[in-house]
Amino acid sequence: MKINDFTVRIGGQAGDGSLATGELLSRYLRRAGYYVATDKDFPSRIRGGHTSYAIRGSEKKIYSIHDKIDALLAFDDDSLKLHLNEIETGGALIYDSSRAKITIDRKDVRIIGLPFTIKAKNELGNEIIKNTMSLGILTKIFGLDIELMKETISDTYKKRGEKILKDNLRAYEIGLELSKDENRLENYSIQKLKRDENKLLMMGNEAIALGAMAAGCKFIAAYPITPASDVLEFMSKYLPKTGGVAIQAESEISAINMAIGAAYAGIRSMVATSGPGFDLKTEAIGLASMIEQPVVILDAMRAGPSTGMPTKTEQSDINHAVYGGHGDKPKVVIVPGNVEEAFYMTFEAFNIAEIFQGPVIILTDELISWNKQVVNKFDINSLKINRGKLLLYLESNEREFKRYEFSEDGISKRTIPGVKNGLHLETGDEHDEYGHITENPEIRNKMMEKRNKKMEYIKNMLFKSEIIGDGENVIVSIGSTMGPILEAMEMLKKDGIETKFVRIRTLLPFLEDPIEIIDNAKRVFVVENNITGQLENLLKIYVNRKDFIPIRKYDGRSFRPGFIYNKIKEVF
Amino acid sequence: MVEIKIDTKIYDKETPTWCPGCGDYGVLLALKRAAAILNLDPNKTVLVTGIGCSSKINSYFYSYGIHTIHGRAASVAQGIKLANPDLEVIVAGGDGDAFAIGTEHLVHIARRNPDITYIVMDNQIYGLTKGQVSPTSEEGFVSITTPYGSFEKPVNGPLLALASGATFIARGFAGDPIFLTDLIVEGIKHKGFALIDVFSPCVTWNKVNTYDWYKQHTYKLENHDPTDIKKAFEILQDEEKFGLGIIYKTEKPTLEEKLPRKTSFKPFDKLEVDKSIEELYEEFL
Repeated sequence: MKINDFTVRIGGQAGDGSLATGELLSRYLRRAGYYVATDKDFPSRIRGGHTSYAIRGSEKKIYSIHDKIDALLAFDDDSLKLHLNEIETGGALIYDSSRAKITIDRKDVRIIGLPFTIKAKNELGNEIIKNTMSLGILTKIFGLDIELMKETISDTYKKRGEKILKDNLRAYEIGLELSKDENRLENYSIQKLKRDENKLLMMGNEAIALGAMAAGCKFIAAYPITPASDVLEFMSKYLPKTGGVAIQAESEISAINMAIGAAYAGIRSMVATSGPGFDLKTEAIGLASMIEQPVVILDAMRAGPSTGMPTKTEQSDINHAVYGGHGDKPKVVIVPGNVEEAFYMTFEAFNIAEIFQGPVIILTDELISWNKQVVNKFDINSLKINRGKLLLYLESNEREFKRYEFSEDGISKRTIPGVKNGLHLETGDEHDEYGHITENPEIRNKMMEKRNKKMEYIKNMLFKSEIIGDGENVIVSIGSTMGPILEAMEMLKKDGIETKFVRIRTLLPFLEDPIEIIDNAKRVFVVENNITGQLENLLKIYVNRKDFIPIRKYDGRSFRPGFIYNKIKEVF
Repeated sequence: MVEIKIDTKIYDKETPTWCPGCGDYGVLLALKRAAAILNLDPNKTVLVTGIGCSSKINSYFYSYGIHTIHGRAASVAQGIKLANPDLEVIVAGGDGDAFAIGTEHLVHIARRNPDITYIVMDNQIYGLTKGQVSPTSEEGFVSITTPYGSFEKPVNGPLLALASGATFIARGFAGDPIFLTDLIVEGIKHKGFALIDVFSPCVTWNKVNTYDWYKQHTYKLENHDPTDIKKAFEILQDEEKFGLGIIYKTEKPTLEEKLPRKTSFKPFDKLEVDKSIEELYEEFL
């Protein structure tokens, strides 16, 4: 019996609207008191090609879907080919019987064929509405709450006009009528839980946009790129209302340079991009390091190299984020592991950037960018703005301001144009304390050391690794893999294998806290979404041990708990 | 015509390291004179540059300055202007910055029309890297990277800017800093994007496009109506004889004015945690 935990995968051709159905179901689940994790899998095109959207609801806090699904809602044949075997015994396959006859070889699942397309066309004259219709059968087999589903549909479509709202509600009714003979699945007990209005459903990109706005970011420049575009889209809508500027730049390069300009002028600013765009920004990130300007860079990693697979996930920009660009330069690289954390880390990224005066790179991956999770309403009262050594008023008799004055911590006082007595030059050339260009070897050394010192100084404000669980076997990872790892740990526990999870959250500067744990472990598994072991190679610089056990995936899809579980089990 | 005796001392900074005779001295002088005429407050002025000999100009001009990376000064400048529209933002740099590596930004800054003045010091050669062909070098031009002569048509920067929607285009000559002063004054006064393309001879590497060459190949526009866009196109299309003066001028709303915001957050406003994000929670229910 599965209690209050189930996964539905909705598959169809791109443009079929599978994502819309998934949205409604996830919104319903939040209202029903569930935690939600989703996983989008769709091609990089607008029409055609198989799309699927998996939505999991659970009474437990979850960050990931499972290997198995409990119901497959198949709007096309590809859904069957690709996902039929994922259905859990006792689960259900629902297919659109108006499309094609199919023979299905699964005696252990309930097979339900319903004429969604025909019904949608005949009754509502709109094929796409079959998606809302299909919620009817899901309601029946999982015993979902009809009134709550109607409320969800109403709230979702009320802004789209009366006809759309009415048609969708009607579609749901028809869906219920179509499924009137279907009973609940025997193996499932899905109850309506206590609704909690302190919880929100959002994807990582939205959490990042909100985190930035909470931090007083008033400037974003970006170029559309999958999977980061949502951040610019969201902020284009809301930032102007707070007096800010969101601008779609003519290129990735222009975007980062605009953001640096805005930071220089004293406004908190950011860019949002993915691998190809991140590559292009490399030179300008070096400028931000050199002139010591705070700018926040989101790199939502996707499968590379080159265009790679734009709509698929990977964690293969670790090397670039940490080592990218010429010259030795201070920068910070942080990695959130889930949607809620993405909000808080983004908020802090702006403080960190201003405190140490340099670029902060937030590395996410597609799974966090697009994965919808249920988060607690943010604890805004706990947040504090820290602008570091920014001075907006100066008393001085000097004709020029020592913008790069040597100091104990390597961080100099910073001021902005418009401030009297603050006049100075900032240059990407090597410079002295006033910002005058120089090639003097002594000044060069002192300046390099000054900038480098900042990296030590900020370490204590950065995010230490989160340690979860206990045991002599250690699992190390960054980012979104935390979801499936936590589930795999539970599966291992049932087999009597205790594991300790080290979730690294800052990659640069590398913090010392996980080194001892890693060196003292019996075994260390490194879970990462890339082929060469970018995280493992980074660890090897800092730890003594060399015998890591890699668990890698690079097919563009996120890890599943069972995959990690099996890989770890192989060793025992 | 303005007076020659203008006290530019307050805009003096470091002593330039340009070669003796470099056209950029003339541009620096004209910029200082223009600043003095307009009484620009150095504390509220930002001179943004790219990379190259000419881009070092903000080491020699007393104002806030930011010396960025090659080709991107226009983008940095737009970020500054959008963040703080109260600043006087001036971009300066060479033909490589504006018409080669940074061409994309020229097109887009022109169409956006921010209130920014962009002074291009065009010497038709790459000076700081020692004498390579430039985007504005003439066809047949022999340089260290075109030993058999350039086989490419030069970029016509001002024409490109005009076609891209620039609202002010002028062309000057470093050999006539008094005349150039007026162009810069008018460019800075202009509300919107102003491109000032300046022939600024490189005396070290370019032995073709010398002061004399420019004198022979340029003329001052007379009785030209700068609001006449057809005439402006005609003047700029002439690639034998180059007209100097204000070639085009029109009034259009600026980027800053067109931004879809009612109030603008200023860098000097107190930055607080923005709790208004809570008003957006209903999107996530």
